[in-house]
Amino acid sequence: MKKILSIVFSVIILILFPINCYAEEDDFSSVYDIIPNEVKDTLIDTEYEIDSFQDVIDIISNDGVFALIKVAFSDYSLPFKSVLTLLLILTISSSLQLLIEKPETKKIAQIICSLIICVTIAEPLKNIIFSVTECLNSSGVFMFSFLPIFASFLVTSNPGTSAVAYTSTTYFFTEITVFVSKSVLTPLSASIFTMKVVSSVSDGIFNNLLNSVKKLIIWILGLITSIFTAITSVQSIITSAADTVAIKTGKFIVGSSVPVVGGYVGEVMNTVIGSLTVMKSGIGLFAIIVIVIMFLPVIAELLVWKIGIKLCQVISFGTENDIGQGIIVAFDDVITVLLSATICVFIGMVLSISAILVFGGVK
Amino acid sequence: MNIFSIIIISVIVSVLAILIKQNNPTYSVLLIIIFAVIIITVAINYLFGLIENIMDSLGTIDYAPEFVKILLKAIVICVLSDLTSNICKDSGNGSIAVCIDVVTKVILLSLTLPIVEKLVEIIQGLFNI
Repeated sequence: MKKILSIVFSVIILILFPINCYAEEDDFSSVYDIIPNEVKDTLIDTEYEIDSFQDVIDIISNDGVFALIKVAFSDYSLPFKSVLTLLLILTISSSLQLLIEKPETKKIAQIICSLIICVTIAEPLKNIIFSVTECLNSSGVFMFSFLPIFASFLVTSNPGTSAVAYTSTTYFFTEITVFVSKSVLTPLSASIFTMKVVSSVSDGIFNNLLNSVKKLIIWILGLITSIFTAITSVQSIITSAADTVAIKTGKFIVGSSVPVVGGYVGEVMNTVIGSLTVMKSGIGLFAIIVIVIMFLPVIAELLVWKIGIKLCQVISFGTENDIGQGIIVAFDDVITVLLSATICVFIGMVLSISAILVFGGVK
Repeated sequence: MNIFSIIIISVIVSVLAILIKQNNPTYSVLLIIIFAVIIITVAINYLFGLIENIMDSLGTIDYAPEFVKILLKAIVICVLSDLTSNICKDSGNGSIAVCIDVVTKVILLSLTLPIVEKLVEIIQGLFNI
């Protein structure tokens, strides 16, 4: 009799007070607030606003990606202007140097020309290093703000193993990135440029050292990416199995500990996990979009510089100015290091969020 | 003055200089100097026209053209000192030619000072990011 009464009572309660499980679409403010201002400006430029999860889907499914690429590549006038000025200086100097006969006077004119090339290059270089450092820092700040929110979704949608493992790996990677960008990348780029300039003026005294440093940086970046990818892959194998066990254990505990409706609550858990997975995928995609918006303009600018400087290099080989050529090569080296570092961090961040999404149950 | 008149005058002056040199070498040197000054004046007129055009094109680019002025100034100084030094050497005043070379180098180095200052400032800025 008691059992029948409790079942009837439970059924009445469930009918009167049904448990609604769905992913809430409207409250996106906590995630939207952590977007850096420059990303908000870019979104305004593209006329896209992310206020709900649907907007995240819209920006990918519609022509939002093209709009983002268009905005990223819209402001490359400075690299082209600088490259044109550089080409003009090279042309003027090499043509006017023909008027000078004496080798020693020619050498001094070459040094003056190289110093002017150096100043023309160094000013934009300062801006490039600043924008790369700013981009890495703000992406780090975004990740530090985003990961706890994402972790909370991960922990609730999947039992803790994968959530803790992936979030801690990504957090560690982000921390290394911010540290490297603040303490190593900027002074290293400046040092490479300065030493290369000195090396060009003084018959290549640092050339071997600088080539080794450049190779070492690219090797270290490759190593960090490989280690990160390896850790993520190993974790994916271990944590997937652990998560499946944890979900089954959770269902068993709820089903056996809650009287009468335990089985029902256990099944409801699937719905809750499914809803949270949808939210998680939305937030994950949103984070990837934010990171793309942050990095795309910087990478685009660096690529434009790289192309322009290669053009200058080709033209400078036709002139007699060896010092000028050396300075242009120095600039190219710094751009290569910055581009490698930026792309490495960008791919690392996108991969880490994608790994969390893929191995965290999002299909 | 076009190039043909310059060539004709140069040949005439050379012949005259050789003829005068046999009787009075001083007047020969004087003739060469006067001719060099005229030719340099003509060259400078052409050069200034060229520099004006270059500065106009740099003005349209609107990015860091101020140091190009220094480059042009340095090249003009180099050309003038080359010519003067050669004239001095031809007239047998090797020591004056050496002096001109030294002075030219010092002036050129002093010209580079603003560029070096700017470069140091930028590099300091790079390390302060």
